[in-house]
Amino acid sequence: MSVDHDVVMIGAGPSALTAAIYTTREEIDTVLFEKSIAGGLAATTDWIDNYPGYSKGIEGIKLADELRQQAERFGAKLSFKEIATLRRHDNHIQLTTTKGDVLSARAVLIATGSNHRTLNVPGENEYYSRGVHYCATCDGAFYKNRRIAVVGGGNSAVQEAIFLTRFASHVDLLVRSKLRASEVLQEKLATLRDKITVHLETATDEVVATDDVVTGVRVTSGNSSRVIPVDGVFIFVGLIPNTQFLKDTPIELDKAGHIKTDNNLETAMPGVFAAGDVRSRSTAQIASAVGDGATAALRIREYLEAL
Amino acid sequence: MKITVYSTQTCPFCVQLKQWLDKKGYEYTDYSVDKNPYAAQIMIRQSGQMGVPFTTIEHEDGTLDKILGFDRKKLATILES
Repeated sequence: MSVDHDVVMIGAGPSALTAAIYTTREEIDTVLFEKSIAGGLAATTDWIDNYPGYSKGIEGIKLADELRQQAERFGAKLSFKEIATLRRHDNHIQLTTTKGDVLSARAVLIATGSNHRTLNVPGENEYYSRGVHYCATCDGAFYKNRRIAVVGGGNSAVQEAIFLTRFASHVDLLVRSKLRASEVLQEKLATLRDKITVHLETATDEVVATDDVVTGVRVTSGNSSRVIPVDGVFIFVGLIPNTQFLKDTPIELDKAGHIKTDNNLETAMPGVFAAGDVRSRSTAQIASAVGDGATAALRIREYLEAL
Repeated sequence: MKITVYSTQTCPFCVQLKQWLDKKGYEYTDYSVDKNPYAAQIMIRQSGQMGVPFTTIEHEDGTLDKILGFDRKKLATILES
């Protein structure tokens, strides 16, 4: 039976695009399946300061576009379809899209990354896109001279809070425990005390609305509960790996849902590799995702040669 | 058919939506809602929300399709019908 592609990559973020640069340069037929946009979460980051080679930093959207163009230059093909499932069949892997298309590949790379975790509090779903947001670079501009709350204490939350000061009259940063952002970001945050108020040990309980318009967030600090008046809420409370589509496969996941691999980045399903943020024990950095992508591509090449 | 895109300059979904329209050869009017508060108000009134990209497609018969987000499937279905 003929196989459609040498390699199918699921995802088109920095990890898969890097892997595709390596495979296509060696004329390994490669198709990337992406359900959203090329560049993944990195593309939604307003500014990236810790990616090597850009001494002044680079916009996430620009880095994503450069990676995509570089992969396409060597012949990588992008297909904007979602993979629903995959299974091992004879000596290849059969994949099915959510539309029901079936295709086959000699090897597969899963680099589906992660998505922003939701808070699961009342009002969050109801006011999504009408006061509740998960993408500051997309929707921050609607809050010019208005007051915003940013929920979270990690790198993303602090970076996006800083970005949102471009628009907002004031940002309330609601941190459930302590700040976990890098020292560099915390130092930058400290210079913006007049624009960003940091509320530590503050749990966000509810998005509050009046007449169907978001007017605040209810928070608990210690034993006291109060409403902080804001016009919009941006939520950055961590990431969840995009592995739900693997639940009926033999691919092993860790407790948090990341894909377990061996030292060759191969999963429990032979011929299926994983790289980037979706891989168990990944450091969730663009630089490491890119490194993972290069390693995975070389291991895939070895795997294909041995077939 | 008149295509209008409401976008922001920093939104990757907006950039890729416009690249997709360019590649397919569709002409459109692009309003940067981060630069144009009047357009932002029109978009909020038309869509009832504050997320971009938001695209409207006005047909010859006066009907209007509204697409929130970069929904390739929906855009293709409407534009190619």
